[in-house]
Amino acid sequence: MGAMRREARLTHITALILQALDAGVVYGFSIMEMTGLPSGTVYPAMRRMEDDQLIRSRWEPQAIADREQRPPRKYYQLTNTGKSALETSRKRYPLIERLVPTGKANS
Amino acid sequence: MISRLEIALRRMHLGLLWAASLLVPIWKRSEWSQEWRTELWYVLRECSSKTSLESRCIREATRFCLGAYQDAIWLRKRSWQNRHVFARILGSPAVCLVLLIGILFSTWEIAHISPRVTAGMSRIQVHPWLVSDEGTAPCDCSLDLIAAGGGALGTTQKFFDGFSHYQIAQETVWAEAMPKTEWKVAHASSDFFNVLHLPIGLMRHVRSGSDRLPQIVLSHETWTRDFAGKQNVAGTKLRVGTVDAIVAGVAFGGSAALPGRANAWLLGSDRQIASASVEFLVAHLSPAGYFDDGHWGYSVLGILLAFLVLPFVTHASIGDYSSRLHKPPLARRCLFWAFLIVKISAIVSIVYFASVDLDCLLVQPFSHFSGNIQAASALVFCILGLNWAFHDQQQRCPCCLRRMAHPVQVGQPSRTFLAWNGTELVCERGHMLLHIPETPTSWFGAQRWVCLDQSWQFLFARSNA
Repeated sequence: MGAMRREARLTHITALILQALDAGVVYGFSIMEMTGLPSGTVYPAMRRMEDDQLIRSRWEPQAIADREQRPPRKYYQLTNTGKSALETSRKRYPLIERLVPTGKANS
Repeated sequence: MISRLEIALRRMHLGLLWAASLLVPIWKRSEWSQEWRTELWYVLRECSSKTSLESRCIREATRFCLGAYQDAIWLRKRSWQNRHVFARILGSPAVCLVLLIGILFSTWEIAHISPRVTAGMSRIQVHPWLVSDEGTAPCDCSLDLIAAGGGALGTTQKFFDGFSHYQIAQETVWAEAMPKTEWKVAHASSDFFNVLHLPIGLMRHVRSGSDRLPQIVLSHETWTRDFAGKQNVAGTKLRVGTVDAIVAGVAFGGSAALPGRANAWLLGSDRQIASASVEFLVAHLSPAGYFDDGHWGYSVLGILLAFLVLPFVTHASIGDYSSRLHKPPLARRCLFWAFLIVKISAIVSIVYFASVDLDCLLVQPFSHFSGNIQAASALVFCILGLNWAFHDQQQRCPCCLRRMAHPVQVGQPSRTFLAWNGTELVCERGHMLLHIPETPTSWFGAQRWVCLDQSWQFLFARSNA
């Protein structure tokens, strides 16, 4: 139920992951590489963010992975709540955009 | 062509992931196992595309696999938290205090309801007395008893819950398997051991009926000397002076310390003693008397020692604030410290009663070790309790006193923009962040509180509602 959903908690890690997702990095390992956060931190944080409805995840169709001869990946994307949380985090941490630059910031 | 080493390493990594998956709750195991295995494939691919150094790829992959254990532990903890609403409720300061008061009441109450503890609290006052024909009855009143010699049984007012008496007489004792021996026999009332809470060992049910013989309880010394410590001594018939008696058991505990150094107690035979001999009046102090008797001092000693030792065994600092300007209001901070003081008071009281209970449960009544056990247990309990109190306080929000939640590890040294690494916790109502450095440094030695201003409140609006 939407009204019963858990409240979001915006920490530094959350801000980093949101920024990475906004920059177009959509896989768990790629987020680790981009943010420098270790694996034991990133996956639980993303799962928590999913519970908070800041992001959502989806497994890639098996057919696509088979065609490219690799295992299917789980990819993540920002929700509308996640986007507004990202805006807040940018105000709070202006340096975050330098650390994880988005395409918009580069241009 | 894949070398044997690569196969072995791949199996090792998969084995690590498999072992990590065992820590994951069963209903999420397959999903997480699949995600880790998939990600491991990409870790190896990315690494090999960047560098030709095989050892570096192995390190990367191993690091990833070890990270899976942190994921699994987090999942396990979270599933426990989700299933047990109790864990969430425990974060509340009111619940914490109620639990402490409950434990305090339990430790206090054990002393009153547990027969073993009550027996352990036994203390006896003895004084020579003139023979009296009046029967003795348990009394829970407060008395100042004047003895025959003119002295008081108790110099101060004490609470007794039972009285009994005995007289020592020299008797010739023999049996079928025992030659005639001279014993000091204490002639006592039949409820002597019950009234005084003195333990009797090796007891056996004695045949009931009108023709049953008087019972005799051997002292521990006599049992080992004249009966060679026989386990089946109960039931043995003895001739004590002019009467036959049956051995009911062996007296343990403090009965050896009673005046007269009796070899045995003949129960229910007080009317057969010459009225001119000296009788000993014995009074049993009630549990309240146990505390009046100065025994509380051992616990207090242990508690005082714990406070002295505490700075060396725990880190009592509650932490600094990241900014002097952004602190919780003074009233809130006072409440924070008051909460700590209440917790410590409750713990000290719990320790006091728990050490008394433990002492009475573990140590035989009248043992010389009694005070030592009480002081040592008070010391250990108090150190453990105070450690918990400070640790608990260190993780409570100074604004709302609720436990900080959702710990996350913040990166590695030199890889985060905050230039520190450690654990970050957040107040569920959005008042504070708590930063605990993993390695204390000169610039970040103690944990640090960060006040969250109003711009954060929209995120916590639902939980505050």
